[in-house]
Amino acid sequence: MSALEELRSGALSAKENVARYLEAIEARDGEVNAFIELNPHAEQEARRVDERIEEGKAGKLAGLVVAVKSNINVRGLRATCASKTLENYVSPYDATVIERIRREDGVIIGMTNMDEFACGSSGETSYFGPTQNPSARGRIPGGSSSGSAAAIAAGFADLALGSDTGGSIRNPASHCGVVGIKPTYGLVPRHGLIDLAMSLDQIGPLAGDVRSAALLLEVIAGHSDREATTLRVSPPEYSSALSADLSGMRIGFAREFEEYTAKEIIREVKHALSKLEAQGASVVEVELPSLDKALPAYYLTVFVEFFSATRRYDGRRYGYRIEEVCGEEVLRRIMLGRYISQKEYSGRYYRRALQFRSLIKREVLSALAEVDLLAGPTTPKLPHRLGESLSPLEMYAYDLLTVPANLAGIPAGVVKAGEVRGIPVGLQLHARPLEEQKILNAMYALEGGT
Amino acid sequence: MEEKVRREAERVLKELSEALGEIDLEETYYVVEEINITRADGEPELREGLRRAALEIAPKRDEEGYYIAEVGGWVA
Repeated sequence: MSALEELRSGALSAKENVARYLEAIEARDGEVNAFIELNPHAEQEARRVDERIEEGKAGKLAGLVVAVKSNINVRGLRATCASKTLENYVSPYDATVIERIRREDGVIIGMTNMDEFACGSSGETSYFGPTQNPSARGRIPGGSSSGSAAAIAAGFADLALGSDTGGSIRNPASHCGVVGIKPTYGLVPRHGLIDLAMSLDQIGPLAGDVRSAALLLEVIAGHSDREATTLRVSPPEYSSALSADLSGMRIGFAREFEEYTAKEIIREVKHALSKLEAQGASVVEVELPSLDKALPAYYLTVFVEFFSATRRYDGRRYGYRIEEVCGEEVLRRIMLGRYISQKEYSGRYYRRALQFRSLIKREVLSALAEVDLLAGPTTPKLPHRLGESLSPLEMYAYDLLTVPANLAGIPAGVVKAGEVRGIPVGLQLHARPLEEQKILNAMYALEGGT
Repeated sequence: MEEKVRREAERVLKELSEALGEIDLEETYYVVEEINITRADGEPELREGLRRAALEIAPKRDEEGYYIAEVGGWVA
């Protein structure tokens, strides 16, 4: 029985649920390093939820334990972005997504580890030390939402929030063998999220199963007056609309995926696709001829937007000037962003990146016009061993298959497809804007739902 | 550390730029373009005079129609 079912049946109280997770964290997080800070009021908040359950007033997440990435503001807890720059920054307010979780009686258990300022794909660049992959010991958990994915994989929380700019939810979900969703750009309010690149960032859920991820998504999604980029849509009740019947669903697989991805990963992905076919879907071949342009277009855009976002860390308001205390990857991106942002170079790099962004978006949406979902691998290679030295470009290559969704603003989800030598491999599914339900249904079918 | 990072940054920029190549397409700017994809209520409204009005009250502007902002003295 899942925690949700136990809580709803009364077999488990919110307080007991929080206590068991705190016990697990106390026992094992020294090794995993999934959390930067725990919520000292979690048990007290759980008691209040139990009272609401008794009164019959509890919300959808009643008593479920939620871990939050350290770039999302939670009042009273530190939003460090895993950087020395913000090591003493205590949030004075709740992000909109946190308000919505609290309104539905979820309990925040703590702030998770991550790559510094979300600049990384391995979970190794945190000022607070790297995170271990609980599903593949000795390997990176992926990033940048490394602690959120690891917290789910290690059994430290029911649900977690991550942010995804170029794969930061999906990459660690794949490496840790959990479910992760990057929503349509504008579906979930970014208010309270500390920017990496504001035109690409989205907050999304991570969970151990598809129903839980769908539940958290429906709680955090929807328009907010505080945020001009949110779409004026009423998101459906994703969790109650889940269906594993894929009759009539057309799923596209791009042959370019095979060109850039390790054979052993492709084998697992194709095996997962055959399971979806058994549920009624048909798989057809589609083309993404400019897939190789997605990575440079993405990074040149990110450098500029990240540089702009970091100008507030000037040492006057948040303790430290970022360039004086940050790690190598953050410094590299600031240097690159500063250089590209200079007016005389803008046409040479940034504007060109935006043109290629148009091309990628056009190709991805064109492929999706023919099919309901676009399926493929999440990362082109298996996670490397913790501490192994990679060049910046080798590290960026992890994002090749995840950045197109961000460039096009479309939703994408990851669910475990299988394992290669004991290392999880995730199937990635893309859909047209606001068609998250199709992704969730296919993931649900793969998970064995009915 | 800074010199090593600078050298790597130069290499990263060179390789990414070469990998990108050239293209002649409209640029995708954030927000407007993204919302255009998903909105079902037609074209967004464009207020022609808004940018001009904002520039008229800007303390400084250049010949291409951009604001000129002063960089803080504490920033290198």
